[in-house]
Amino acid sequence: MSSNGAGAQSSALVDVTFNSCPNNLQRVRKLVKLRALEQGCSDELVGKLVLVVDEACANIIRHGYHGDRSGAIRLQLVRVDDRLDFRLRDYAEPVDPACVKPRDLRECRPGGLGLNFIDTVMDEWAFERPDDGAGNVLLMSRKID
Amino acid sequence: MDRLCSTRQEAGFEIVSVGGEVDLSWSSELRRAILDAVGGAPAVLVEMADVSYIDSSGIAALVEGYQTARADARQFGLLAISDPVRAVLELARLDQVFPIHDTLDAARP
Repeated sequence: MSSNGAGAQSSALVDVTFNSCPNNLQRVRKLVKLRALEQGCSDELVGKLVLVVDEACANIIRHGYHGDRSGAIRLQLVRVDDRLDFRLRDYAEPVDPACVKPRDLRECRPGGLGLNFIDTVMDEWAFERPDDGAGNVLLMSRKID
Repeated sequence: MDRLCSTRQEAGFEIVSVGGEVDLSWSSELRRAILDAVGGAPAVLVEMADVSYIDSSGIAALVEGYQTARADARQFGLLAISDPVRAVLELARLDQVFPIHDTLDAARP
Protein backbone atom coordinates (compact mmCIF):
# COMPACT_ATOMS: atom_id res chain seq x y z
CA MET A 1 0.00 0.00 0.00
CA SER A 2 1.53 3.33 -0.99
CA SER A 3 0.67 6.89 -0.04
CA ASN A 4 0.00 9.52 -2.67
CA GLY A 5 0.81 13.18 -2.33
CA ALA A 6 2.00 12.80 1.24
CA GLY A 7 3.26 15.80 3.12
CA ALA A 8 2.09 19.25 4.03
CA GLN A 9 0.64 19.95 0.59
CA SER A 10 -1.91 17.14 0.83
CA SER A 11 -5.16 17.96 2.62
CA ALA A 12 -6.41 14.40 2.40
CA LEU A 13 -6.74 12.43 5.62
CA VAL A 14 -6.15 9.32 3.55
CA ASP A 15 -4.66 9.03 0.09
CA VAL A 16 -3.39 5.54 -0.61
CA THR A 17 -3.16 3.25 -3.59
CA PHE A 18 -3.10 -0.51 -3.20
CA ASN A 19 -3.46 -3.64 -5.31
CA SER A 20 -6.78 -5.42 -5.60
CA CYS A 21 -5.64 -8.23 -3.31
CA PRO A 22 -8.07 -9.18 -0.51
CA ASN A 23 -5.15 -9.41 1.89
CA ASN A 24 -4.83 -5.62 1.67
CA LEU A 25 -8.30 -5.03 3.10
CA GLN A 26 -7.24 -5.46 6.72
CA ARG A 27 -4.72 -2.60 6.43
CA VAL A 28 -7.30 -0.42 4.70
CA ARG A 29 -9.74 -1.04 7.55
CA LYS A 30 -7.12 -0.14 10.15
CA LEU A 31 -6.34 3.10 8.34
CA VAL A 32 -9.98 4.14 8.00
CA LYS A 33 -10.65 3.28 11.65
CA LEU A 34 -7.69 5.37 12.81
CA ARG A 35 -8.63 8.42 10.74
CA ALA A 36 -12.34 8.24 11.61
CA LEU A 37 -11.53 8.08 15.31
CA GLU A 38 -9.18 11.06 14.94
CA GLN A 39 -12.04 13.02 13.38
CA GLY A 40 -14.26 12.43 16.40
CA CYS A 41 -16.61 9.81 15.01
CA SER A 42 -18.41 7.65 17.56
CA ASP A 43 -17.32 4.04 17.94
CA GLU A 44 -20.57 2.97 16.28
CA LEU A 45 -20.04 5.22 13.27
CA VAL A 46 -16.39 4.19 12.99
CA GLY A 47 -17.46 0.55 12.78
CA LYS A 48 -19.96 1.36 10.05
CA LEU A 49 -17.53 3.47 8.01
CA VAL A 50 -14.89 0.76 8.21
CA LEU A 51 -17.43 -1.80 7.01
CA VAL A 52 -18.65 0.36 4.14
CA VAL A 53 -15.18 1.19 2.80
CA ASP A 54 -14.21 -2.48 3.09
CA GLU A 55 -17.35 -3.51 1.19
CA ALA A 56 -16.77 -0.95 -1.53
CA CYS A 57 -13.18 -2.17 -2.00
CA ALA A 58 -14.34 -5.80 -1.97
CA ASN A 59 -16.89 -5.01 -4.66
CA ILE A 60 -14.14 -3.54 -6.83
CA ILE A 61 -11.99 -6.64 -6.29
CA ARG A 62 -14.80 -9.11 -6.99
CA HIS A 63 -16.93 -7.39 -9.61
CA GLY A 64 -14.52 -4.86 -11.12
CA TYR A 65 -11.27 -6.78 -11.32
CA HIS A 66 -12.93 -10.23 -11.12
CA GLY A 67 -10.37 -11.46 -8.61
CA ASP A 68 -7.31 -10.19 -10.50
CA ARG A 69 -5.02 -9.11 -7.66
CA SER A 70 -2.94 -6.70 -9.74
CA GLY A 71 -5.54 -3.98 -10.30
CA ALA A 72 -5.05 -0.58 -8.68
CA ILE A 73 -7.42 0.92 -6.13
CA ARG A 74 -6.98 4.45 -4.81
CA LEU A 75 -8.74 5.51 -1.62
CA GLN A 76 -8.98 9.15 -0.66
CA LEU A 77 -10.65 10.59 2.41
CA VAL A 78 -11.15 14.27 3.09
CA ARG A 79 -13.07 16.16 5.74
CA VAL A 80 -15.33 18.97 4.54
CA ASP A 81 -16.91 20.83 7.48
CA ASP A 82 -18.74 18.14 9.48
CA ARG A 83 -18.66 15.62 6.69
CA LEU A 84 -16.31 12.83 5.65
CA ASP A 85 -15.99 12.37 1.89
CA PHE A 86 -14.59 9.10 0.56
CA ARG A 87 -13.41 8.68 -3.03
CA LEU A 88 -12.55 5.27 -4.47
CA ARG A 89 -10.94 5.05 -7.88
CA ASP A 90 -10.35 1.90 -9.88
CA TYR A 91 -9.27 1.10 -13.45
CA ALA A 92 -11.65 -1.77 -14.08
CA GLU A 93 -14.35 -1.93 -16.75
CA PRO A 94 -16.78 0.98 -16.30
CA VAL A 95 -19.90 0.03 -14.39
CA ASP A 96 -23.37 1.09 -15.46
CA PRO A 97 -24.66 3.05 -12.45
CA ALA A 98 -28.21 2.15 -13.43
CA CYS A 99 -27.37 -1.50 -12.74
CA VAL A 100 -25.96 -0.83 -9.29
CA LYS A 101 -28.87 -0.84 -6.90
CA PRO A 102 -29.30 -2.09 -3.31
CA ARG A 103 -31.36 -5.24 -3.06
CA ASP A 104 -34.51 -5.89 -1.05
CA LEU A 105 -33.35 -6.91 2.43
CA ARG A 106 -36.59 -8.80 3.02
CA GLU A 107 -35.11 -11.50 0.76
CA CYS A 108 -32.92 -13.79 2.85
CA ARG A 109 -30.24 -14.86 0.43
CA PRO A 110 -26.45 -14.83 0.33
CA GLY A 111 -24.70 -12.06 -1.57
CA GLY A 112 -25.45 -8.50 -2.54
CA LEU A 113 -25.37 -7.04 0.96
CA GLY A 114 -22.37 -4.79 0.48
CA LEU A 115 -24.26 -2.22 -1.52
CA ASN A 116 -27.03 -2.21 1.07
CA PHE A 117 -24.49 -1.38 3.75
CA ILE A 118 -23.17 1.51 1.66
CA ASP A 119 -26.69 2.77 0.97
CA THR A 120 -27.75 2.51 4.62
CA VAL A 121 -24.68 4.05 6.24
CA MET A 122 -23.76 6.80 3.80
CA ASP A 123 -25.80 9.99 3.42
CA GLU A 124 -24.92 10.12 -0.27
CA TRP A 125 -23.10 7.91 -2.75
CA ALA A 126 -22.71 8.02 -6.49
CA PHE A 127 -20.54 6.87 -9.35
CA GLU A 128 -18.68 9.51 -11.29
CA ARG A 129 -16.99 9.17 -14.65
CA PRO A 130 -13.23 9.74 -14.22
CA ASP A 131 -11.76 12.73 -16.05
CA ASP A 132 -9.46 10.49 -18.08
CA GLY A 133 -12.31 8.10 -18.87
CA ALA A 134 -10.71 4.98 -17.46
CA GLY A 135 -12.29 2.90 -14.72
CA ASN A 136 -14.70 4.13 -12.08
CA VAL A 137 -14.95 6.63 -9.27
CA LEU A 138 -17.22 5.93 -6.31
CA LEU A 139 -17.99 8.92 -4.12
CA MET A 140 -19.43 8.36 -0.65
CA SER A 141 -20.25 10.98 1.94
CA ARG A 142 -21.29 10.77 5.57
CA LYS A 143 -21.95 13.46 8.15
CA ILE A 144 -20.08 13.00 11.43
CA ASP A 145 -22.58 12.38 14.25
CA MET B 1 -6.13 -12.95 16.71
CA ASP B 2 -5.79 -13.04 12.94
CA ARG B 3 -8.13 -15.83 11.93
CA LEU B 4 -9.56 -19.02 13.36
CA CYS B 5 -11.86 -21.62 11.89
CA SER B 6 -12.08 -25.02 13.54
CA THR B 7 -14.78 -27.63 14.02
CA ARG B 8 -15.56 -29.78 17.05
CA GLN B 9 -18.36 -31.97 18.32
CA GLU B 10 -19.94 -31.12 21.64
CA ALA B 11 -23.27 -31.88 23.30
CA GLY B 12 -24.73 -33.29 20.11
CA PHE B 13 -23.76 -30.30 18.00
CA GLU B 14 -21.20 -29.84 15.26
CA ILE B 15 -19.67 -26.53 16.29
CA VAL B 16 -17.76 -24.37 13.82
CA SER B 17 -15.71 -22.01 15.93
CA VAL B 18 -14.69 -18.79 14.19
CA GLY B 19 -12.39 -16.00 15.32
CA GLY B 20 -10.56 -12.95 14.07
CA GLU B 21 -11.51 -10.70 11.19
CA VAL B 22 -13.72 -12.45 8.64
CA ASP B 23 -13.34 -10.77 5.27
CA LEU B 24 -12.99 -11.50 1.58
CA SER B 25 -9.47 -12.86 2.04
CA TRP B 26 -10.71 -16.05 3.74
CA SER B 27 -14.50 -16.11 3.96
CA SER B 28 -14.48 -18.90 1.34
CA GLU B 29 -12.75 -21.11 3.94
CA LEU B 30 -15.48 -20.31 6.45
CA ARG B 31 -18.13 -21.07 3.84
CA ARG B 32 -16.54 -24.46 3.12
CA ALA B 33 -16.29 -25.32 6.83
CA ILE B 34 -19.93 -24.39 7.44
CA LEU B 35 -21.23 -26.33 4.43
CA ASP B 36 -19.12 -29.37 5.38
CA ALA B 37 -20.56 -29.25 8.88
CA VAL B 38 -24.11 -28.82 7.63
CA GLY B 39 -23.67 -31.73 5.23
CA GLY B 40 -22.55 -34.14 7.93
CA ALA B 41 -24.42 -33.31 11.11
CA PRO B 42 -28.05 -32.88 12.16
CA ALA B 43 -27.34 -29.82 14.27
CA VAL B 44 -24.74 -27.11 13.56
CA LEU B 45 -23.74 -24.06 15.54
CA VAL B 46 -21.34 -21.34 14.41
CA GLU B 47 -19.56 -19.99 17.46
CA MET B 48 -18.60 -16.34 16.97
CA ALA B 49 -17.56 -14.93 20.34
CA ASP B 50 -14.06 -14.13 19.09
CA VAL B 51 -15.00 -12.56 15.76
CA SER B 52 -13.78 -8.97 15.81
CA TYR B 53 -15.02 -8.12 12.31
CA ILE B 54 -17.23 -9.67 9.66
CA ASP B 55 -18.07 -8.41 6.18
CA SER B 56 -20.88 -9.30 3.81
CA SER B 57 -18.97 -12.27 2.36
CA GLY B 58 -18.83 -13.78 5.86
CA ILE B 59 -22.50 -13.05 6.39
CA ALA B 60 -23.23 -14.70 3.04
CA ALA B 61 -21.49 -17.88 4.28
CA LEU B 62 -23.79 -17.90 7.31
CA VAL B 63 -26.89 -17.36 5.18
CA GLU B 64 -25.93 -20.15 2.81
CA GLY B 65 -25.34 -22.52 5.72
CA TYR B 66 -28.65 -21.59 7.28
CA GLN B 67 -30.57 -22.09 4.05
CA THR B 68 -28.84 -25.40 3.27
CA ALA B 69 -29.56 -26.72 6.76
CA ARG B 70 -33.16 -25.61 6.66
CA ALA B 71 -33.71 -27.26 3.28
CA ASP B 72 -32.56 -30.57 4.82
CA ALA B 73 -34.57 -30.05 8.05
CA ARG B 74 -31.34 -29.71 10.04
CA GLN B 75 -30.78 -27.36 12.95
CA PHE B 76 -28.54 -24.33 12.35
CA GLY B 77 -27.80 -21.46 14.67
CA LEU B 78 -25.26 -18.92 15.85
CA LEU B 79 -23.62 -19.24 19.24
CA ALA B 80 -22.29 -16.48 21.49
CA ILE B 81 -21.98 -13.83 18.83
CA SER B 82 -19.71 -10.86 19.47
CA ASP B 83 -20.89 -7.24 19.39
CA PRO B 84 -19.30 -6.58 15.95
CA VAL B 85 -21.15 -9.57 14.52
CA ARG B 86 -24.44 -8.46 16.08
CA ALA B 87 -24.00 -4.96 14.67
CA VAL B 88 -23.55 -6.24 11.11
CA LEU B 89 -26.44 -8.72 11.44
CA GLU B 90 -28.65 -5.84 12.57
CA LEU B 91 -27.51 -3.70 9.67
CA ALA B 92 -28.41 -6.55 7.30
CA ARG B 93 -31.70 -7.11 9.18
CA LEU B 94 -30.68 -10.71 9.73
CA ASP B 95 -30.64 -10.61 13.54
CA GLN B 96 -34.25 -11.83 13.56
CA VAL B 97 -33.61 -14.50 10.94
CA PHE B 98 -30.87 -16.64 12.49
CA PRO B 99 -31.48 -18.55 15.70
CA ILE B 100 -28.96 -16.88 18.04
CA HIS B 101 -28.01 -18.56 21.33
CA ASP B 102 -25.97 -17.10 24.16
CA THR B 103 -24.91 -20.50 25.49
CA LEU B 104 -24.72 -24.10 24.37
CA ASP B 105 -27.40 -25.03 26.89
CA ALA B 106 -29.73 -22.47 25.38
CA ALA B 107 -29.24 -24.03 21.94
CA ARG B 108 -30.55 -27.44 23.01
CA PRO B 109 -33.97 -28.21 21.51
